[in-house]
Amino acid sequence: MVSEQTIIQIRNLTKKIGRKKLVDSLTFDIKKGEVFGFLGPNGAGKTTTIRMIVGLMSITKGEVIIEGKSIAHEFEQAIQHVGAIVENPEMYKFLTGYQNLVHFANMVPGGIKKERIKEVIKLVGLESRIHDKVKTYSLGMRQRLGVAQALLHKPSVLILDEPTNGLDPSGIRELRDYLRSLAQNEGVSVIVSSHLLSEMELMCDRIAIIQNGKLIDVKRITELVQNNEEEITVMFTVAQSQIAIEQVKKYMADAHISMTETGFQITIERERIPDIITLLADNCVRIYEVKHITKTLEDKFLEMTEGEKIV
Amino acid sequence: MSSLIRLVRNENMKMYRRISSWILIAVLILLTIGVGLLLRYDSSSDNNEQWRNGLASKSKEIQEVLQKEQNIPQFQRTQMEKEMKIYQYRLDHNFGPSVWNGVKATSSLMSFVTLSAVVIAGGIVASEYNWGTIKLLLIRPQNRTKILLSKYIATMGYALLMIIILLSVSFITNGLLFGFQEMGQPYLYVAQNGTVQEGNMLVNILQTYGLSSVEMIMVVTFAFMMSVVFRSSALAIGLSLFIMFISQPLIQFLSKFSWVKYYLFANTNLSVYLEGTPLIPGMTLTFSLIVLAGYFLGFTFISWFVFKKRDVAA
Repeated sequence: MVSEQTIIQIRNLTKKIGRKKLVDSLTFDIKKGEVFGFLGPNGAGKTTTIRMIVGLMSITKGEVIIEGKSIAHEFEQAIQHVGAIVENPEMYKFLTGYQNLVHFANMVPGGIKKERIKEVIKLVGLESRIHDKVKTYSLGMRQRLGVAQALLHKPSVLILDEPTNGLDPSGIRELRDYLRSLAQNEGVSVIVSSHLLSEMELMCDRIAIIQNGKLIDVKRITELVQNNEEEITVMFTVAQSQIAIEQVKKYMADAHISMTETGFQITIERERIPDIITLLADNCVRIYEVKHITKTLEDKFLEMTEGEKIV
Repeated sequence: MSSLIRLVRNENMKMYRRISSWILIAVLILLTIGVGLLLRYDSSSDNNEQWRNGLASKSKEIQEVLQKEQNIPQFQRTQMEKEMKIYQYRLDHNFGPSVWNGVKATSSLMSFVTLSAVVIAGGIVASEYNWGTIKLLLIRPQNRTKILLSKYIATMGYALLMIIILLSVSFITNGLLFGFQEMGQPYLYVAQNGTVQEGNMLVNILQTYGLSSVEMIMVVTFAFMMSVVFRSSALAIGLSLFIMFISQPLIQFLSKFSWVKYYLFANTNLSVYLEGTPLIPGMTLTFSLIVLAGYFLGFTFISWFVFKKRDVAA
């Protein structure tokens, strides 16, 4: 479960190449056992941020602290808590899946026991194909092998950059369920990046929205999708929309009302909805459907990034 | 220390699991056998049963040339006279063709060993970038210096393996072709006082191979650096072989300038200091060793610095 223990602290993280600031003063924490999402359009700086967190890119300014160790100054101590796939899970294609795992196990100080390798293979469900060459694997299998290499040394943070790229819907679902269970059952923090909102919504506890290298906001998913506002938007499907709108306008002049193809849409306090229904019924308007429209995460996101397109 | 050994083991696994590494070794074996056969069955050579006739007629030829041609340079003249003395010594002491003639001849295949090691060195860093595996390699609790060092050690290990294969295949092939019974023959050379002396054959063979390893190490280290800097194995291999093959004509062309002595390949042939005249007057063994060390440190420093500092993007 999500606790308040911080695993990664990111302070003022900045990457400058030439005069261009690819990442600009990002500051946020990632807690133990949470699934944390980086959301932003392509080119927003998600991958650059991840590359700085795992030490593939140097940090221009600021700090990344993993389990109390700085990635820039105590790289080996910091990175040993991290398992990652950066972009596609590119493995040695001419080796078997098992040889790939042995290769990465050899790079862990103190080594990794054969039992652990077997355990991880079982975890990702690759037992039947693990001794085949990776070049014969499907993308989904490579992705699973990628997850296996990232989990070998029991990291406390798992970082996946665009993990669902190129996966089919069932593969995405499988990965998502798996990541959730890792976070919940093993207390592993998971960081994923994506430009797809729908995915983030299903996977993450919290998301950081990044645009043009800047942090726009960090929010809980529940906060984002919940509607706390006083007024709600309701869609009415009715037979005679003209008459209906006239009647409603007569009694509720302050309401935002607009006609739709099958009726009308109104934004109003929740308490007044029964009144509208009674009013329409009294005026013999045939009502087929009354639907509460929640603002989608996408609407929220567009609001926050001021209408800039995602994807 | 043990972690470095495991990193080297990883590199070896990646190297020897690929067929290309074995193809190069197979070609080396075939070439070694080929050179031995050529030596043994070439009727014009002095390595068959008629070796006495061969040596005698060669001696005669040299004598005729020395008498007829007046404008042979002095150093060439002494070289020829030395050769004649050695032929005579062999005839006097009944030193026929032996396994060692073959082993010495195959030292020319050191250039193939160099070529193979350049192919490996050119790919060992660049391929990780091409495959995208560099991203997985560099997010392990190992520092980049160690990872790079393990790759260099693995490359040199491959070169060493090839030299061992060359020597042993050459010894066996030539032993079978010429017989092992003449193995005790000494190495013959002409001393300062003009007399033929007997030296240790094994020492001489190792010296020959050792000296040609100097050029190999320098070219391979250069290819390794190119592999790190350009991240393209084709460019690294191409450029290294190009500078290796253009060197000799280039040095000849530039030999009138004294600064050519600072050029890498003007210093790689250390055998000139043991048996002959240096390329440029005034060059000494110490001078060449210092120049070689300078280049070596330069190549390894650039490789290390670039690999250590570079952002892994794309």
